[in-house]
Amino acid sequence: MINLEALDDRVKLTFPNECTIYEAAEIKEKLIASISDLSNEIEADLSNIDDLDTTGVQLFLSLKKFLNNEGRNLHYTNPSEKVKTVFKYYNLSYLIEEEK
Amino acid sequence: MNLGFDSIKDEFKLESQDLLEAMEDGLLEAQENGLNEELIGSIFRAIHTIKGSAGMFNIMYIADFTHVVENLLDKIRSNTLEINDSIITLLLNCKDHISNLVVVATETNGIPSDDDLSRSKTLLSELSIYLNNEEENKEQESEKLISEEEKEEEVLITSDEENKDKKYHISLRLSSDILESGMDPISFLNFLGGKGNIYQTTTLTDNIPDLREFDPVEYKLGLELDIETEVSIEELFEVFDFLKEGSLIEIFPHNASVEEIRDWLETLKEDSQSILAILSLGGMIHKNDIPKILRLESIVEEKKTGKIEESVKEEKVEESVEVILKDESTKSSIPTIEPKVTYTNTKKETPSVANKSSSIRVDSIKIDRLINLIGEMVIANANVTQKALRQKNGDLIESVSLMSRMVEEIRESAMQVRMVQIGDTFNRYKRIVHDLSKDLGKKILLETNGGDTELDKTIIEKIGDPLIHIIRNAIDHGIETPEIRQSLGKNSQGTIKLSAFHDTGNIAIVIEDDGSGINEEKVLEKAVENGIVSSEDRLSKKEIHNLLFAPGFSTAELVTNISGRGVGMDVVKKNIESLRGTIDIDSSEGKGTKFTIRLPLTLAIIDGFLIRTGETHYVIPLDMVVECIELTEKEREEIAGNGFINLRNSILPLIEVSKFFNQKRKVTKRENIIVVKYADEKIGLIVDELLGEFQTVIKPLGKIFRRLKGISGATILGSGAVALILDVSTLVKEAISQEDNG
Repeated sequence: MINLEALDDRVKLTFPNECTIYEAAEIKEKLIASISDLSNEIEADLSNIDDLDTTGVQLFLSLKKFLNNEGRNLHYTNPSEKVKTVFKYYNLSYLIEEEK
Repeated sequence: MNLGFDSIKDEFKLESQDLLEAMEDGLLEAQENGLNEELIGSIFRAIHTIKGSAGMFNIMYIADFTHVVENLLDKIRSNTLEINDSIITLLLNCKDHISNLVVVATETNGIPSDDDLSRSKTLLSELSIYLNNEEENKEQESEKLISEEEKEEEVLITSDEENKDKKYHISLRLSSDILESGMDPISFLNFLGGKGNIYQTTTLTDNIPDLREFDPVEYKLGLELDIETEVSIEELFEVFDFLKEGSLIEIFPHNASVEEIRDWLETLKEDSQSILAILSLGGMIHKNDIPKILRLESIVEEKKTGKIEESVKEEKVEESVEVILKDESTKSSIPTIEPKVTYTNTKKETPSVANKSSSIRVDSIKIDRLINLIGEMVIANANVTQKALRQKNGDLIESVSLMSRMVEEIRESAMQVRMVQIGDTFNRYKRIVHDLSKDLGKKILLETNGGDTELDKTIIEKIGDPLIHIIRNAIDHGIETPEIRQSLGKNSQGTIKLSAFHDTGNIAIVIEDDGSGINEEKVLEKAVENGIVSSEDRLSKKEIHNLLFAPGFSTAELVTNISGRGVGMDVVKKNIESLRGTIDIDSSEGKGTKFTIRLPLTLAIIDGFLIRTGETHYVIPLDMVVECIELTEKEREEIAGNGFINLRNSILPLIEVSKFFNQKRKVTKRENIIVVKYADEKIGLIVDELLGEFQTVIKPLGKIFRRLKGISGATILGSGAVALILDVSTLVKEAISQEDNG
């Protein structure tokens, strides 16, 4: 499941292996429950993901929107191969930073 | 990855089956009348669509196989290969195999057996004979593809006028419930990518909600794609054939006119400027043209509002476009799409779907249920009517009669739903004739007539096997080999005529061949041999013909694998009788044989004519009633010795219904004759009272009554009493034979 790690200057979120329509509801609840009292700088690590579908992509977009609306920063980092492929289909790769 | 396949499995199967049938029809037609462009086009499209669907759901064993078949068809289509009988046979075999594979994919675990695979291999190697260098070509093709990919960027830059017809802009606003139905747009993108090079994708993310409103099953993304491809726009539309309603799909060639683009923008009700900016990214329009397109629009708007001066508006528009384009250059997604997308299904407009007739598939169980309910309603209505009549309440009777009329109309339209044209069934026999005549070295043409005749679906389903049997017999025993035919001075090609038409409340199906006919002597000989009749019996021509329907009868000197094992014609007869139908045979030796099958239009509810004799009510199917006459004293005397009367100078055999069923009754003062007709024979039935038209819900009689002669079923009257439905065909036969014997 989703993992939180407080670093000096930011909070690091690590997404689980599977981010698909089946897990999205649970991930969403977890995020909402934990994210409000986090730092304003958030890094979301995508390196563990080996199953991602359109729902997952929408979840990432939705999370980013939510945080940006609150004036906080979210960076998606370390995409796995699967993440790269899926994001390429939607030409959304610019949302992910390869290294951080 | 079989994304979403489960949810549309059935649709895939049905569609594939329809297409394969179309393919078979096309091939057989081609064999009969030669190939034309339209035919090869439809065959090609059939295979092509199956390939597409299979590819989309990653059923590679179908996609790969159909791909090769498609290649062969393409060669035929482009006139580089001439079609001949052996190619047609090969293609028919391929069709069967694909049909089999579709079943594997949809009904079993989706893994083809070793047999299936080796069958694929055999057919592929047969196909490759006609395709010779196909494999090499394929390799070259894929090489070409790779090098094209490498050139991708170059192509982008050098997008000049002559390349524009190969580029399309695709705009997708897929239905928001697409994820819920188990599909993922990624699979469409993946599949589309296989059709050509998607060189520009813009994902519209503005409808994505805040995390708190995020719903995992709602699809919120918009897609604007530019693809460079060799396939036609129709084929691009086909990719989205499986999408549910509520999806908005637009595909434009890059050379679409400014007006077309403008019209489209208007239907989108989206922010035109950002869409145009996306179009310019894909190179469909030049960004300098955007003001031009928008100006056209602003003029329209201006005419509507009539407030803003043209020049001012123009400047404003140009400014805003500049802003957006700057935005674009930073390579972010287009942020300004208003969430005003109207989700309407535009599938109707796509060319591939446009020519399909609008019909829906309904599970036949649902229709059966509906018919049953209507049957109950008819009975209930009869009950209400009777009670109203008894109460002699004028108002009530009027209302009830109105309701009765409505019930009748509902009944008729419901029955209409079940009616199916028999033509499809006929077409299936073309294949059988083709295959069998080939096996037997005979030349046979199947002629069909009246394929648009409609018949109850249940009957059509059940009549299929008997018809096949008769046709097989005609091919095997009836039609002679070309050599014999020529020596007899006949056309070396035999003909089997299959026709259907309406005939006094029945459907007649006639199977006629111009073969050797029935050798009566031989039939008689065989019948005596098998102990069906004794050698002393003197039989009429018709009786001899009817011996063919006796159980255990076969005249074939050679028992082939096609027919002639002595099981058959009696079963055929039984099947037809179980549908309340009859079969007649007519043959003249050397000239051919003709089978006439008569079937009732429907099995469930009929218009009946209610009569009473003694205490019992009977129903006669109304269509069989010709006229009603009063039985006068004088005629009564006439009958006494003969059992027939003279009706307008022709003999009318009579049956006294009460006598026929051994009913006890008092002789009433007034009796009536009701004249009925079946298969061109008329007889009169003597009854006590004529009660008139009656909507009859046919209820089958139980097993005990199966042997009851002259009754085909029962129905329930308004009073709750049972009325028996007379089996007119049996009564007619009985009356005629009485007459013959008397």
